[in-house]
Amino acid sequence: MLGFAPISSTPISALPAAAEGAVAGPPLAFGEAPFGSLVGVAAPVAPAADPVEELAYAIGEFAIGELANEAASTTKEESASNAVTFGQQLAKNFELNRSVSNSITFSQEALNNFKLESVSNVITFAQELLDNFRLEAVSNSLTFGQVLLDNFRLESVTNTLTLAQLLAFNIEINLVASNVINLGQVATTNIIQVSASNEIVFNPFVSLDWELNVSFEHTIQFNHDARRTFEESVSNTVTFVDTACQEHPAENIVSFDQTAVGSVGPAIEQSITFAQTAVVEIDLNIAQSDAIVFVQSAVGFIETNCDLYEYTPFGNLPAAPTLSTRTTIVLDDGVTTLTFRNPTFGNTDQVETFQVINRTRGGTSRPFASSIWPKNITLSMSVNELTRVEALAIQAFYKTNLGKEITFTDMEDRDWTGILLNVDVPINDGGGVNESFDCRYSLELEFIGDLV
Amino acid sequence: MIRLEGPYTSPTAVTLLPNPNTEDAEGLEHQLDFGFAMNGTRYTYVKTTVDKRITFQFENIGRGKILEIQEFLKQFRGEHIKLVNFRSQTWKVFVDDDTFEFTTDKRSINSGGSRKEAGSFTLEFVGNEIT
Repeated sequence: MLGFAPISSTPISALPAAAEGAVAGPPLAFGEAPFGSLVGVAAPVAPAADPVEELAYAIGEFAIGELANEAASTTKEESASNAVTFGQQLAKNFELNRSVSNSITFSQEALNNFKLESVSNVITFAQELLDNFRLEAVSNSLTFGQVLLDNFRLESVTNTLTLAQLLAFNIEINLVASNVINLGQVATTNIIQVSASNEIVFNPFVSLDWELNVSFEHTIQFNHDARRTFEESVSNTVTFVDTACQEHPAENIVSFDQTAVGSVGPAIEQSITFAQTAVVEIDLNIAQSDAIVFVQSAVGFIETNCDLYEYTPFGNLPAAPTLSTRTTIVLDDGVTTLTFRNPTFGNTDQVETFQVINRTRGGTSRPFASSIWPKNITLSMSVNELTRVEALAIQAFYKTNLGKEITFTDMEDRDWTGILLNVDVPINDGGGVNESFDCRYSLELEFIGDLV
Repeated sequence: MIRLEGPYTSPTAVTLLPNPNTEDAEGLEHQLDFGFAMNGTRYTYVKTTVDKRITFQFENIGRGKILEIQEFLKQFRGEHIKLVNFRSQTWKVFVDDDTFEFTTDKRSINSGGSRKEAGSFTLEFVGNEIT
């Protein structure tokens, strides 16, 4: 497990100077040690002639031995752990006037009139689990406390914490993997131009081959207490990037909680404000703008704007078609163009839609129509008083264009593309009341198509 | 005046029509089947519904309005629409027919459109009045 170099009961001043890191020179008082040294109270303490006095000066070096847990290729039910243990075993019949404590202290102290660039403590916990281990929980807990006293000029206060949890394959985790970080920075008086910043990056990643029944939850709380006059700004910048796979939702929840301490007259309000203020007599070369777009849509209509006879819809119906007046209609197949006089009254537009009406057992009707189902318009019209030459030309045109797409221009000057339907009897002979009257033929036109 | 709004929930389009002809009809949609047993006993089967079938006949409608009602029918086929009739009653209906025939049959000075032509058509709706 862990090995400590035995601490002799001999006063430290009498230790061999060859011991690495040993404190040479005269005995130090309790708690006094050069920067960076590890200070502790060691154990065990063997019986001595003056045990109390010996314990008071038992200050020296810990020789940390191997932190090795050889469990890389075997399966064990026990957890793998590294532990640094400060054990104090006091023999019987000793009377101690001092307390017994274990502590690791990183002490960096800058006295008056010193300019210190940075004070930093970096501790990295790395836990790596290899194959075939079953682990109940992986947790790292670490607390940094930095307190700056008066009359010091400090450039920055930085807490850097890295919690690395690497889980290898074939490990069953029944607990939630969580990072809990508490960064507390307290800046007391006489600290000038200090910016306090907290940067936390949560970046959990789970391979697609894993099956986890736990969720990822990040809770970040920023508390800035700037009751004194600071030259630096206080700001919180939070960026949420959630990527959820498959059917699980991704949510970002931002909560603003404001509490006013002391006697505050007006009520506390929750608001998001975009404010840009330009001081007078400052020439800015950039534009100042607040752009907020409010989109308001109202569903309704104004009846007075709708005409009962004209094409005046309200809403998302198509725009009014362009209608004009023609004196002829035209059939065109790209090669032959036939032009006739306008049809007689009684022409029809037959609109054919497709829908399914289902009725429930209770009698409720449920209509349905798919948007891809066709919506056809069939034009039917009759053109009278055609000559025989025109009638024969129509028959030839029908024969040439059976089942082919042609272009039809109606009397409202709208162009259609479609096919002719009434291939059987397109031409009617009006009869021989007056054989010399040649204009006795009529055209019955049925055309199905779409507007161009 | 007849007002059609579609769809019924959160309408996005409105079309107005003048009042229909006086031959409007409002019929029941119940079903009645009956038969006879060998001894002459009559058996009936009745299926009732809250729906009614209302029929409006329109005449002298301008060509522009005819094209507008065509677009409305094509857009809201297979959906419930809101109908406010000339009695200011609100109905939740759907258009029961698949085929509508619009006939242009006369010239009319107040029919609007470029040709001053008017037509006629019949609309049938099935639905129930919303109280």
